[in-house]
Amino acid sequence: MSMIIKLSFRNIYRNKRRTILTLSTISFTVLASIVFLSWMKGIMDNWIDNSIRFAYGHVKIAHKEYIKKERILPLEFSVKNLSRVMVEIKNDKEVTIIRQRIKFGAQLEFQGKTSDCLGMAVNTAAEKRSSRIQKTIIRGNYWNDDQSGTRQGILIGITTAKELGVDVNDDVTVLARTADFSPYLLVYKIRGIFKTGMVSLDKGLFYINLADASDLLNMKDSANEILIMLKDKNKAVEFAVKIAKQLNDAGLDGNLKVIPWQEQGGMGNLIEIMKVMMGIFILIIGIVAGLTILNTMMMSVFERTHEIGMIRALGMKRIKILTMIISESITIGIIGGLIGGLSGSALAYFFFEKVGVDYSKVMESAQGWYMDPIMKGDFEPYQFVIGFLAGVFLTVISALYPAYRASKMKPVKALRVI
Amino acid sequence: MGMMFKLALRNVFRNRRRSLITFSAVMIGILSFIIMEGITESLQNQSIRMLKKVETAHLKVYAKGYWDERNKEPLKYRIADYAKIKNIIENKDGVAGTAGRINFQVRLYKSRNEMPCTGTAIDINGGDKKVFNLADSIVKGKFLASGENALLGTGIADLFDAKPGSWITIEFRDKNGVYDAIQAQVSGIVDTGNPVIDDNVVFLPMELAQERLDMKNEVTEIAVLLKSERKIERFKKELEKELNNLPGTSQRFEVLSWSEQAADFLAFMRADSQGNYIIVYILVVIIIAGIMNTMLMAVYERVREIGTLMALGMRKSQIKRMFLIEGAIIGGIGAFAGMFLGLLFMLQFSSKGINIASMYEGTNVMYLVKDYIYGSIRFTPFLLSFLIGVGVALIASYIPARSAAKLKPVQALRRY
Repeated sequence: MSMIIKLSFRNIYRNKRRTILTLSTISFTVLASIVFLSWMKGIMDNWIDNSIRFAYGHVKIAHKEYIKKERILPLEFSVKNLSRVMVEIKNDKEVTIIRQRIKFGAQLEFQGKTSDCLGMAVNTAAEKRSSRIQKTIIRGNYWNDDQSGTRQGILIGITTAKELGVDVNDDVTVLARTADFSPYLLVYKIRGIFKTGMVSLDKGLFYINLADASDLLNMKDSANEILIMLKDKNKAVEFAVKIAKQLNDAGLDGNLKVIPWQEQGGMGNLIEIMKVMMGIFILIIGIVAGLTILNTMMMSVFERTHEIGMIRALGMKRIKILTMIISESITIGIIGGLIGGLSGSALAYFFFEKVGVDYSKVMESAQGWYMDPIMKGDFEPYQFVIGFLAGVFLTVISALYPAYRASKMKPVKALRVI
Repeated sequence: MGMMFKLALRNVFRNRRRSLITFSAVMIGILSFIIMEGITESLQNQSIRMLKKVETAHLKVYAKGYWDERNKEPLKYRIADYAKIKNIIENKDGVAGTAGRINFQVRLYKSRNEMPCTGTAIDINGGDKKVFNLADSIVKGKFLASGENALLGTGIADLFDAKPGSWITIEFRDKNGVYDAIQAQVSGIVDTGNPVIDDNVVFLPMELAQERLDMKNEVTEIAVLLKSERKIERFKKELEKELNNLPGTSQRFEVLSWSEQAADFLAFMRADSQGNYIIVYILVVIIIAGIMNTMLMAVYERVREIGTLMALGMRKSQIKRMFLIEGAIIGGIGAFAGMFLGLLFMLQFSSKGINIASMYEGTNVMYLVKDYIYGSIRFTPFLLSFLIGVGVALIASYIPARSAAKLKPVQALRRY
């Protein structure tokens, strides 16, 4: 056996230029796959993560009419009996954070200038733990834990702040409609201004705390969205089914719907499409690279026809010839896989993950998408393993046919070939 | 040259299996390029066409200052003498139609629901149909008539359960900042496929809006459709100059072409195509390695022949050319095969189309396409495919060809 390995090593060394070409094909393919995988993973995860943090939660509970008409934010379709719903979910061991929110349409007014906004009344403590909003505050500050009472001020996005010409500590008027449709207004002090870089958030969004919402909107013990964060986001679907049943059994409002993040905003569908597209990309690259490797392996087999005839004549068995060629391909595959794997990992990690690519110009028009403007890849060691194994696998697959041909050669005929 | 080509061709077919594998690699590369280009182009082309028909026209004239603050839809920047300006533009050479519009912020109310929207007043008698195809996008009811009626996008209509005949209330501030409201009956529902319009815009007849906004003979923009898009930049400059030098008025104007209006969208499109073409770049690199390999082998196994050819008086440059031609043939045949399959795909794609909407069901697609997209068979991508195929092959064969030309006849002949 060791002789065969030695033989295959020598064969690899014999035609250096060809080996280098084969190696470069394999390693480039591996490099490209690793960079591609980590880049796509980074972008997708960022998008999923942001969407979950800011808009969807892992699981969302809301009134079914509210879900249909979310854009007009109908307050009449809210989750009533909030405290009873909370009792049902609070003690589940999968749950980490529960964020009760009231989203409402409102108009901000400052010295005659107005801006139509989405108001977000939040449980400030829960929101702090799961959305990153408090980290994006560039002026002023977030609520402290003891500021959960009423009239604790308002947080607004940078773009809206500029449009209205307001700064921290200015008083803005918030005009809204209460749950029973009467127009109402309250004056709030601006406690902070946030800048996320995402158009969907920086423009037309403000936060107040939940206690203030009962003040402004006359909504007590209710919320129109409950976002639940879980320990494991992959368990969202089964968790949603379980909670839906539990709420039903408890005799709560039958109009409530429990929706996992995959079913919100078409996320699950889009993820599937992306996966299919990535699969097709990798497949095409794999086929073309496989053909190239197949060609080199064929050449290296056929140019040795004479030799193979010789060793067959000397009594080497077919299976050993097969093993020899295949171990040759494994060796090349491993070397190519390592070179491509290491350089691909380095590129993915040091450039695409650490530096990233600035898409802020493009993201200007990406209203409704929660993506950081500087996109970054996400390199994980498993991508190296996948790339490496794919490289070796591809090389071996491409070597099967030449190896088979070599093992089928008739010694007499092969010897006759010069 | 003829002989050289024949020699190269024979050499290509001498080792059929090897050539076939190399062809297939080139073919798959070219095929994926054509498919990728075809789909991207039709998505983008269709989006741009629709953008021009429903949103940007070819050019838009605004009062100076409007564009910078367009997101606020300010009534501060108005085109004062609409009839006169419209007339001036309409009488210019190459103009197919003009239409004034007013965009303003409104709040829409129906029963208990309300939502901020954009109000757009359209000049139904003054040529809006010539510039925009709004009337063709009506899915329910009919187009605007004069009087207190409104046209809603499908998105808004669904949210408010509005049907033709329903009553809505539109609240707004006139140009002086005074609050006012219009009660209007929904005349029809439009589905343009552009979410900016379908989910946001309430269309109103111009006379009604002008009266209630206190904007007699005033608009916020005039959209211009040209007969031919070719001279759009020159036309734009001339128009801007002419409008800004009108006697008897101090008003200043700015003219923006559709590509300036849609700059954000175009930037997104460019980024998206870049992403799509990465796979083509990767394939090109792999194919170069593949062809180089094939050619190196071809040179290597023919050392003695090359020696013979040289000894018979063939010059180095001819040897080099022979191998380059050989490479180009491999690339060319691969490219032709890829182009043929690509053509089959494009024929199918242009007659049957692809249902993009069902693919992206329920997701937020950035492209402005309604349901089906259709490919168009154009010469450029095919020419480009051929050039890429042959070009890649030439680049890949250069090193092997050079090393063949560097051989010394005596030494080469000595090889067995």
